[in-house]
Amino acid sequence: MLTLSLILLPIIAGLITLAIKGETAKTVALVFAFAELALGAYLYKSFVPDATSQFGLSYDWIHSAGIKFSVGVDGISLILVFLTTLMVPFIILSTFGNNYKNASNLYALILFMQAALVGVFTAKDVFLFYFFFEAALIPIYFIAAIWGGENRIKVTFKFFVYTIFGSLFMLLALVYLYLLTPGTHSADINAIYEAAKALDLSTQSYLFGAFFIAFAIKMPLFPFHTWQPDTYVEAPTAGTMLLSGIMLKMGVYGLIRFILPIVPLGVDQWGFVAIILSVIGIIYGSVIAIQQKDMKRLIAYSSFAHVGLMSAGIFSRNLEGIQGSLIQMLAHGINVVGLFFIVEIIERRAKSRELSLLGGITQTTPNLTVYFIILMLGSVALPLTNGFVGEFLLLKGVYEYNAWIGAVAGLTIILGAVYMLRMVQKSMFGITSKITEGFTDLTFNEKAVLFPLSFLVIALGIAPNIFLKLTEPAVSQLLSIIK
Amino acid sequence: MNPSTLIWLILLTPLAGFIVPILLGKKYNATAAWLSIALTGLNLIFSILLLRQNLHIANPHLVFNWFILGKESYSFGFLTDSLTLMMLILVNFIALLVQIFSLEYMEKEPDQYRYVGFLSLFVFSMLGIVLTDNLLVMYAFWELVGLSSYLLIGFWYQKPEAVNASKKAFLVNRVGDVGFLLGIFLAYYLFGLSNFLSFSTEMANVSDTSLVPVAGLLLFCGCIGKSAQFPLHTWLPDAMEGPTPVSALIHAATMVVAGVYLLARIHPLLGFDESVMVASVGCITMLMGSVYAIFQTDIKKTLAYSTISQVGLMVVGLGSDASIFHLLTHAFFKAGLFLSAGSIIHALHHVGHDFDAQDMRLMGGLRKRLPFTFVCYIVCSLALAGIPFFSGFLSKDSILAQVIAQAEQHQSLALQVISVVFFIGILLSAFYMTRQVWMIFFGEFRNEKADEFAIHEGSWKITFPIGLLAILSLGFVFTFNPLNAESAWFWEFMKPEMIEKSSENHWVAYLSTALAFAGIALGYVSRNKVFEFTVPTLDVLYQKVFVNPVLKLSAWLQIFDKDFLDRFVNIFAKLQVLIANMIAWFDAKFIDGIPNTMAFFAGLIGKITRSVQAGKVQLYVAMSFLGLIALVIFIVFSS
Repeated sequence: MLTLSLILLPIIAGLITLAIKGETAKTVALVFAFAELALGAYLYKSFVPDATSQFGLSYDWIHSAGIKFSVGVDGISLILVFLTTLMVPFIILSTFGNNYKNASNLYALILFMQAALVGVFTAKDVFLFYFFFEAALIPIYFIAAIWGGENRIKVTFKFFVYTIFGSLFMLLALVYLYLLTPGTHSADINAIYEAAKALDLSTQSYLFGAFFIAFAIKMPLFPFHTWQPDTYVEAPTAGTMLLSGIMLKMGVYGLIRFILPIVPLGVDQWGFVAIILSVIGIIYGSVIAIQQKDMKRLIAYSSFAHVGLMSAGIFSRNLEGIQGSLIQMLAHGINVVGLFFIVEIIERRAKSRELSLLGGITQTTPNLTVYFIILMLGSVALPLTNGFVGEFLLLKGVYEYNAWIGAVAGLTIILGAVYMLRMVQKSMFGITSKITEGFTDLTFNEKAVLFPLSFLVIALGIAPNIFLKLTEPAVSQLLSIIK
Repeated sequence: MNPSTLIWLILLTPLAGFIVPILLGKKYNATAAWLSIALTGLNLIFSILLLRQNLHIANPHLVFNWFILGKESYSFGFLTDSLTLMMLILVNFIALLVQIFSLEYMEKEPDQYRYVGFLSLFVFSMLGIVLTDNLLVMYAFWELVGLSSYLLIGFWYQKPEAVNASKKAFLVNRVGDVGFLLGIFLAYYLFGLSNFLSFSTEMANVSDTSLVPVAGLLLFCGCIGKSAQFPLHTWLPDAMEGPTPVSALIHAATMVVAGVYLLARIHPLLGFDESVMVASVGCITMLMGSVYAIFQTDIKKTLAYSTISQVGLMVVGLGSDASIFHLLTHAFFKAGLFLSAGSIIHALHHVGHDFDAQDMRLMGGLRKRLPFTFVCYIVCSLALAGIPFFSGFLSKDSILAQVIAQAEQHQSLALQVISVVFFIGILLSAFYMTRQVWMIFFGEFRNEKADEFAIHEGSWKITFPIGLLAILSLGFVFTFNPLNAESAWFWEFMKPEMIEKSSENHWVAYLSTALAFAGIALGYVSRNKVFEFTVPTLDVLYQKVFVNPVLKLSAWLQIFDKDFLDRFVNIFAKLQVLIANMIAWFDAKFIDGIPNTMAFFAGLIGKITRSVQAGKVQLYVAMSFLGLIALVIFIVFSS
C-alpha cells in the first residue's frame, strides 16, 4: 500500500491543486509535497536493508497478457524514490518568489510528474515501467513549453521527439523480451530476467543497443546530449530542476535495472564502448562548461559531465561503481537543484544570468555566499561533502575496471573545479557591476530551500553510510545475477 | 583522560573555533579572535597531555566508520606516534602565535570573524592530516586544507589578484591531487587497504611488486602539489596575496610541509631509483626557488621562493627524520621571518598611502625604526642561511650528511650531483637573505610618500610572537652542542629505541659553513645592485601549453556541439520524417492490413512524424500511447 500511496498521493494532490485557482494553489501543492516527503521518510525508515523487494503490490492490468500493475521497492528503488520525494517540496518552494500565469496548472504538473517518477522507480512490470517512463515526459514537456523562455517551443519539441524516439527502441526490446517469456507470457521484470538468460551474444548485442539508445538519450550521454543544454536553459528553473535533479536519473536507473541484468553478454561486448562514450562525455562536458557565459548552461554541461561518470561507474560493473552511482545520484540531485536555485535567485534580482555582467554580489550577501560555496564544494566533490563519496567510489570502480580510463576520468577532479570556481568567482567575487548593485540577501523562503539542501550536502558527506548500507544488498544481488 | 577522548577534543576544538565565529558574525569580531586563541591554547594543552601519555607508541585508535562497502570499511583511525605528536604540537604552537599576531594585524578588518574562523578550519584540517592512519582520510583532510587555503588566500575577495591567486592555488593543488587519488586507488588494489603503517608488513602479500613504487610516485604527486614542488610550485608565490599571518602559518610553516609529512609516511613504498627521482624533484625545486628568490622585489615573494627552496630541501631528504628535523626548524625560522615581514608591512601601512608596503625598493634603513623586528629578522635569516649556532645549520647539515652517506653507499652519480647542488643552494640562500636584509634594514629609507619618523614597532601582540620564534631559531634550543647536529634531542624524540650514529663527515659541516659565509659576503658585495628583471616563470609556459589549448578546445567543442552534432541530429530527424513518410505511403499502398509488428511501427512513426510536422504534439502523445495499447492488444490476440 505504501508504494501505491506514494504514486497516488501526488496525483490526488495534483487534481486538487488544479481545482484551486489563485495563490493558495502553491501552498496546497507544497503541503502535499511535504506529505509525500513524510511518506518517503516513512518508507526509508521501514525499509529492511536486504536484497528483497518490499512494500510490493500487484494488480492484474491486462490479465490475459500477464501484464500487471506491479510495484515494489528494493534498495536501488528506495534511494531514487527518496530522492524524488525529497526534492519536489524544495522545487515547489523555490518557485515561491516568482509569479506564474495559471500557477495552479504548473504545480499540478509538477505533482503529476512526481507521481510518474515514483512510478518509474518502483514499477516491477516492464510495460508499467515503460508507461511511467513516457508519462513522466508529458508534464515536463508542458512545464517547459508553457512557462519556458523565448525559444521554448522549438527546444522543448526537440527534446520531446528525441527522447520519445529513444524510448521506442526500448519498447521494441521490451516487446521482444516479453514474447520470449514462457506460457501466456509475463511482463514481470524477474520473468524478463529469466527469459533473457537464454539469449546468445548477437541478440544481446541488439538488445543492448536498443536499451542503450533509450537511456543514453535520457541521461544524456555523449553524443546524444544535444537536446539537453538548450532544454535546461529554456525551461523555467523549476522544470530544469525536475529534469536534472530527478528525471535524468531515470536513464541511470534504467542502466542498472535493465541493461546490466538483462544483457550481461551484451555488456561484456559493448560495455567498453559505453564507458568510453561516458568518459568522453565527462571531459567534453567539463571542457565546454569552462567557457560558458550563461550560468544555467554552465550547470547544464556540468550535469552532463557528472552523469557521464555515473554511467562509467555502472558499466564498470563492480560494487564500487554501482554503489557510487547510486549515492552520486542522490548527491547530484541535491547539488544541482541547489545550484539551479541559486542561479534563479541571481536572475530574480539582477535580471541576468550572464557571468560577464555579474560580480561583486558577495559584498552584500553573506548568506547567499555561504550557501553557494557549500553547494559548489559539494559539486566539486570536496571530501566531507556529499559529492565526494560518490565520486571516490565511481572513480575507484572505473579505475578497477581499467586504470588508464580511471586516470582519464580522474581529470574531472581538476576540470570540475575549474568551471565551478570560475562560475563562483565571476558571479560573486570582485567588484559590483551595474546590475548587481544593491543586491539583497536571501529571503526567508529562499533560506528555507538552501539551508536544508546545504545541510544535506554536509550530512551526507559525513555519513554516507546511512544510504550505502540500504542499497548494498540489492546491488550485491544484482552483481551476483550478472556473474 | 584516555587517548581517544583527547584525540576527539583535539579535533573538535578547532572545529568549534571555525563554527562559532562564523555563526556569531561581524558583531563579535574581537570575541571571536580571543575565543580562537583560547581554543588553540587549549588544544596545545591537549596535545601536550597526549604527548605525555603514550609517547612514541604507534597505536591507531579506531574511532569512526566513515562508510562500508562489501568487506571494505573506510574508517577514521588515529595515530599517536612521535611524528604525529610532534606535528600536533608544532601546528598548534605556530597557529597560536599567528593568532596572537593577527589580533593586532587584522584588528581593523571588518570581516575579522571570517578570518579567525577560516584559520581554525585550517588548524582542524591540518590536525586531521597528521592524526589519521590511512591515506583516504588523509586525502579528505588534505582537500580541506586546500579549501581553507583557498578561502584565506582569497580573504580579500574584492581584490581580483587575491581571488585569482586563490583559484590558482586550489586548481594547481588539484592537479597534484589527481595523482594522489590514483595512488590511493593503486594502494587499495595492491594492499587492499590504505593504512600506511601496514604497508611494510603487507608488502609480502603483494602479487605485483613492480607496481608498488608506481603507487609511491603517484602519491608523491600529492606532495608536489601541496608542497609546491617543481613543476607545480607556481601557486605559492601568488598565494602571498593572502594576509601575511596566513602566509606565515599556512604557506610557510605548516601546510606546505604536509607533502613532506606525506612523504615520510609513504616512503617505504619507494625503491632506490624512485627515491632518487623524488630527491631530484626536490633538488630542482630547491635550486629554482633560491634562484628566483634573488630576483624578487616584494618582501613576501622573496620569502615565498625561499620557502619553495627550503621545502625542496626537505624533499631531497625524502621525508626521513632529518627532513622532519628541518621541517621543525624551518617552521620556526620561516614563521619568524614572515611575521617579521608582517610587522614591517603593518608598520608601513600606518605611515602613508598610495604605495606598495611590500616593495623592498621602498624600504631601507628600517633597523633604526624597527630595532626589535630587525634583531628577530637577523636571527631567523641566519638560521635560514645555515650559520652555526642557529637551528637551520643543524637540520640542513643532517639532510646533507644523509644524502652524502647515501651517495657513497650506493655509488650513485645522481645523488652526488644532488649533494653538489645542495651546496650551491646553501650559498644562494645566504646570498639572497643577505641582500634582502640589506634592502630592508640598511642604507637610507627610500620611500618619499611615507613619513619615516612615524614608523614604530607594534604592541606585544606583534613583538612577542616574533621574539619567541627568533629564540626558537637558535641552535641551543635543539642541542647543547650547537655545532653538532647529532647531539640534538630531536633524534631521541623520534626514535628512542635506536639512535642512529651515522659516520661523521666533518668536512660537510665545514664546507657548508664556508659556503654560507661566502653567500653572505657575496650578498654584501652586491648589496646596492637591484636585479630588476622579471625572470620568466613556468606560468607563461603553462598558459601556452595547457590553459590556452584547453580554452581553444573548449571553444572548438562548443562549435562542434552546436554546429555539427546538434545539426546532425536535426538532419537525422528530418531524414526520419522523410523516410517515415515514404514508409507510410508504402504501408498504405502495399502492406495495409498485414499484421506485422514492424510495419505497424513504421506506420506509427510515419503518422507521428506527420502530425509532428503539423505541430500537433498532443496528438502525438496520444498516438504514442494509443500505439502502446494497440501493440499490447495486438500481442494479446496474436498469442
